[in-house]
Amino acid sequence: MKMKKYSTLALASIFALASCSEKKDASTTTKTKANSALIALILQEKPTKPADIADLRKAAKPGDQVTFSGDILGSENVFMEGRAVMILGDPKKITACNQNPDENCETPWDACCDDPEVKMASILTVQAVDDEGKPLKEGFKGLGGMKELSSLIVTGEVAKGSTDSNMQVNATGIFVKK
Amino acid sequence: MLPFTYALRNLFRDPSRLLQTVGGSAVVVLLLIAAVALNQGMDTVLSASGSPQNVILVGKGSEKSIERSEVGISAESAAATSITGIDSKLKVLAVSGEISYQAPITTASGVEEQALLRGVLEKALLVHTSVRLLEGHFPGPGEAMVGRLTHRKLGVEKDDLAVGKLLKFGDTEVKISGRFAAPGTVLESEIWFDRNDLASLTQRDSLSSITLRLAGDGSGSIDDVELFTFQRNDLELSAIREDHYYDKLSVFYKPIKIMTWVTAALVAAGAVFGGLNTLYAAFAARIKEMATLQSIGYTRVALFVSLIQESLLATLTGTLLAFILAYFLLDGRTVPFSIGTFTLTLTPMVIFSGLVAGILLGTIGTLPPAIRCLLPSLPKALRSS
Repeated sequence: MKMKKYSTLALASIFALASCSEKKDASTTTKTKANSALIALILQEKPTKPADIADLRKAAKPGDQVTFSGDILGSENVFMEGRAVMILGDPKKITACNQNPDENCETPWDACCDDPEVKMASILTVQAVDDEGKPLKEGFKGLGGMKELSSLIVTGEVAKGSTDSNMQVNATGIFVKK
Repeated sequence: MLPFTYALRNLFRDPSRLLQTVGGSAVVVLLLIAAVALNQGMDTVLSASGSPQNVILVGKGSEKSIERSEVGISAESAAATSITGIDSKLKVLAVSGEISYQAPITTASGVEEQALLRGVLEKALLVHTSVRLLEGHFPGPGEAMVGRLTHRKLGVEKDDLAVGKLLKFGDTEVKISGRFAAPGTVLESEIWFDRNDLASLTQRDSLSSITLRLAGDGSGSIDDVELFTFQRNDLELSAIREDHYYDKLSVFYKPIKIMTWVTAALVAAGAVFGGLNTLYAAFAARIKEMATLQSIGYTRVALFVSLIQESLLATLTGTLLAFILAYFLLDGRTVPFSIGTFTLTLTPMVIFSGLVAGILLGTIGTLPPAIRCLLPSLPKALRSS
């Protein structure tokens, strides 16, 4: 009787552990998929004739294929943790605070010294999306050495829902300037 | 071992010393109880005020203060339509754009005091689920609803804020339409206005914040709300979980808490040193008596235990007195602070802290004078005057 009890317990434990590892495997697979999709975005060759973000904001419409250059700046949080979403700013229009003399800002990429209206017109959101158009569940930070204030050239498509006051670009390629 | 009655009788040898020890320990324990209850009360109200299911959207850079935040009115509908996994009741999404404002309010009795005002629409009840209407109705135009503890925050009589009475905001009068409770949260010290009324009274065309309640089935997460803030740069929003917002406020009040402890510690230190002095004097006068007891066969350990018993009796009497005083003076008392009101409660934790303090006072406080009294050799102690 006791033996039977122990065998049942052992079996239950095995099932419980097995289901745990299955869950872990599933999450690891999703992460790996996202990671490989992000790695595939990194371009080895520099795209030619990138536009400036401020000019792009004025001209591009949803669905347009675009190539533009920009720096990772324009907000205190430029990378979203756990999602392939980041903010890029036009370095010709807004300035990282550490480029101003005597400035000891802890988050120079928030461009807090610039006029908020100019800043608003000189930033856009870059995201890497899946087949359903949802951002991948892996952050951009660290990918290809990307960090705050890194300079990038991005190719992609202006996302649906972008307006004159707000622009999102679904990236198809990212070149990280060294 | 010496009989317990020896320690008991010794207590009453010097009534003034007994009073001093009992009084001193009562003060120390009462202060400690007050400090623990104050800190616990503040922590409890702040942690209960925020729900992990609620997310607040505030203007970028205003994550530490909703009052300073400005959010465009259009952001409310944008958030409701773009964010997935928001809770809903009868197909109404739990998204509440609110105006938070601090301003002086004049009550019917003419008392003018700084009040916490919240401009809301009925949807607010979908996100602030702890709110219960006690009497009256939700405020419409020209009306306001007061929290159960608002009178404490304003320092007025409860009747002053009865349903039907008038409140004055500047020159504008509003009628109290109802009274609500939101147990254990800062909300019940607020005055809720109709949102459009408060917007025109404060001459603002923006909201302070948008509170969203995520569905309990896990279909929505803070990540979805944060994603919305990244994708809608133009709205200049930041997302913060409501409980995290109040946790951050708790950090803001840390210096006040530290001050409470420092004050309690300073007064307690004075009482402890006073008590030590009394015990030194009392035990020093009994060195010869202790030596005599040793010479008739009682060990030093037995004498030490007796001294501890004597001291513990006095300090625990003081502790009991402190508990009685705390019950009548502190328990249930509401304390207003800048963002609400909290209640002092004699929780098991508070009582335990007081009891531990009483026991420590009786044991650790007795150690130095007892050791000094029992340390001299027997011949030397017997010869002492």
